[in-house]
Amino acid sequence: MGSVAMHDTVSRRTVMKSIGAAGAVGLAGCSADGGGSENTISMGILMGVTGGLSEVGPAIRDAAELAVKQVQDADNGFSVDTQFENTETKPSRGVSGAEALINGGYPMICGGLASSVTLQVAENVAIPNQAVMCSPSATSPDVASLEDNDFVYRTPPTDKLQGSLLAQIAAERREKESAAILFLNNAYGNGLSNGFTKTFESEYGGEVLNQVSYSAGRSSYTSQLQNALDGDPETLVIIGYPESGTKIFRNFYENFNRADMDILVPDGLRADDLPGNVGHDMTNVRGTNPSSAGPGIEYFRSAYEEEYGSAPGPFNQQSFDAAAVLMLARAAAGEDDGTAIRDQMRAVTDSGGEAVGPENLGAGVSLAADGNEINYQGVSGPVEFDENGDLASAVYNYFRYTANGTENIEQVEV
Amino acid sequence: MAARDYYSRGQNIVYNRPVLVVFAVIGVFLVFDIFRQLGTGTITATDLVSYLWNGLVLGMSLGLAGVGLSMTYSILNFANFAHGDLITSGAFAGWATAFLIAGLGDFSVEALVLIGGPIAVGSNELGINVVNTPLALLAGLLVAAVLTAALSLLLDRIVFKPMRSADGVTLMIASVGVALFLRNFLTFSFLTDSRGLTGGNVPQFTLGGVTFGGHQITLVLVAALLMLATHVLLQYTKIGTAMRAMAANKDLAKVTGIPTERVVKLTWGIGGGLTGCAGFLIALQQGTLTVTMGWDLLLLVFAAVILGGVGSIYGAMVGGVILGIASRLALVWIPASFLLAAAFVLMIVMLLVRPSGLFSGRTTA
Repeated sequence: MGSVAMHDTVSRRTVMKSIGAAGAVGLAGCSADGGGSENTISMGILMGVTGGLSEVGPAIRDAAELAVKQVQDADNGFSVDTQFENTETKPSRGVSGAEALINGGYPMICGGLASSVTLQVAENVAIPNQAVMCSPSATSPDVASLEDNDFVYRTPPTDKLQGSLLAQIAAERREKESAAILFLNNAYGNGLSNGFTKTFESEYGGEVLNQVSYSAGRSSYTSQLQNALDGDPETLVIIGYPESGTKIFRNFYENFNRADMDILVPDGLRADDLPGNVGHDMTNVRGTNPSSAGPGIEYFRSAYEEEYGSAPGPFNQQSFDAAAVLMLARAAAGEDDGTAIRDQMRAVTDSGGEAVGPENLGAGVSLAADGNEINYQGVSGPVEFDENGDLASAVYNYFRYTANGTENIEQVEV
Repeated sequence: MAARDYYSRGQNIVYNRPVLVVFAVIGVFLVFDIFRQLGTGTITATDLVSYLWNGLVLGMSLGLAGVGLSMTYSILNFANFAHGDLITSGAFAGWATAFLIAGLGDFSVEALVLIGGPIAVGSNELGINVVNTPLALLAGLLVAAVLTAALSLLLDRIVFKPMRSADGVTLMIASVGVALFLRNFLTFSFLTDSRGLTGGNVPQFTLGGVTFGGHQITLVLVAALLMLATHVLLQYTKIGTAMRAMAANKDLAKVTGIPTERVVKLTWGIGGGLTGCAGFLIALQQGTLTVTMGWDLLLLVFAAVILGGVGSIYGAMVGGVILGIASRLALVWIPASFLLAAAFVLMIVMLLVRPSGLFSGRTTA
């Protein structure tokens, strides 16, 4: 044993040395970049590709990088320098990631994804450092009420709209008078739950019997479901993401004899592989999600499929738009300065001027840099910001689950 | 005379342990309140039985998962934060096996070994459950036990053995590193998708309005069997005696001629095997699996082990069951969103009243 141990010590030391050397090389590589010239667009990408949004996050990141690639590949004299930080869908990691981006000299951030992360990053990093932020998927109403000096934008519609749309669907289309809500205890869940309750009770005279919150990562949600179903509500609204959603629906179908109960879900729980993972037919579930069909959608779809070999998922169009608008605003501003970029965010999206879409994004960047007026045509639909940095109007899909996926029923404009 | 004795003993407790008395009164009050609510119909007997049953299921999973943690604590004297990720590793190893056996021929080997995830293997098409595919599940359980035991031994060899003389805090920090490594390795191999495992018509029994799920029953029975086996091993075998001796006094055990290094290895092996089984069974009962499953559970497992008395294996079992039942029974008074708070309040009360836990002073046995 003794000799073996000695040999071990030696080899371990060699290994440690080589790891140390590799680390030093890595650090040297990091310090080489940063800083940028007039024709280099610096954009930080801050998204959660693991944690609660692990199922949708990676594709959202891909879509933003597709926009970057379009500008990069175009022969327009511009290059794009991006740095990616993973938030793990946790506010604390989001804040430290955003700080890394600010320290790296990035004046604008494409992200974050979850509302809870986006709110914390905006308040603690982006706004105090005067960096422009554009989220492709933060939909909480709280994002609108940030005191942000106009530094925070987003390309998906706010949940205020979606909450009232769900209430409208419950009351008018499904003809329900009572409902219960089971919602994820974060900014997204709270926002939607309150939005639904307000509209359902005040506009349609319905009654919300129970509002039950839950945390992600619990071993079972049977107790929460039991609380929510207390008093026999006519419909159940489940708000969250597939990570806990899989378990909630499993618990629902296994422990309650109500497989045909009407259930409504928001965009967070639209995932084609959910029925497969739940192991049960989910045809009793309907929901809404922001539609993402603007003028350039066909071009975007084929470019995305060519690049990544799969069809775009939820919020991918919004992600492309967020990255595109940021890069256009930066080109129009002409410098890596958060305030200057902020002042161009509306100029490149408001109506009037040269139409720019995904197919001519590269050319659009140089047009914007030359001082031309630009009107960006979103892949996800019209991108035009109101005074809060929210979309002025939005189109939603009303969808339902089929035996092995989801299908749209119709489009609703709010 | 006897009455006076009791009286003075009671007086002693009231004077010396007022905190204990206060909590005892609250406890008695809560028990009476359950009967009152049953009487007034605020809760039904069906509700109560279903709370108890769900609590028992959670408790047995916590108890089984806690045995390995308690074993490493009693023999090696450190809190193993990698325990949660050993649970997850066991679950992944076992379920990859179960998927492979149940679906070979119908799906690609790659998709099965990766337990679906990004490559869709609908859990319904595979239809794994205790009635349809008992052999696949049994094989999965065995592989989970063997591979997790092997993984524990490997980690001990690489990480913990060279640090054998280090103190508990150093070892604990090292175990945090092991936890992060394991979880990220699993993420690297299996991605972070939450995947469905069981499918088909999972059998269930309904007795007087309470549903007993087939997989819940499986978990409770198998966990009880494994706990019984652990008890027999510790009490009636030579190696069990050696383990207890070492937990009681390491130096004395060494002097007596007990091969301590072998006992340490066996502890890792047996503890790891039980942990792997726990991971596989918990995933079976939940029906879903993510790479954070064990980590999410770890806090509760620690609470169960502390409640029972750190280092005591029976304490881990009993602590788990008490914690599980208490956290579900709390539904009588509080909404489901705050159930965990009830579990941890119970743990805090235990620490105040009996800081070393229920089975304190009985290391290992």
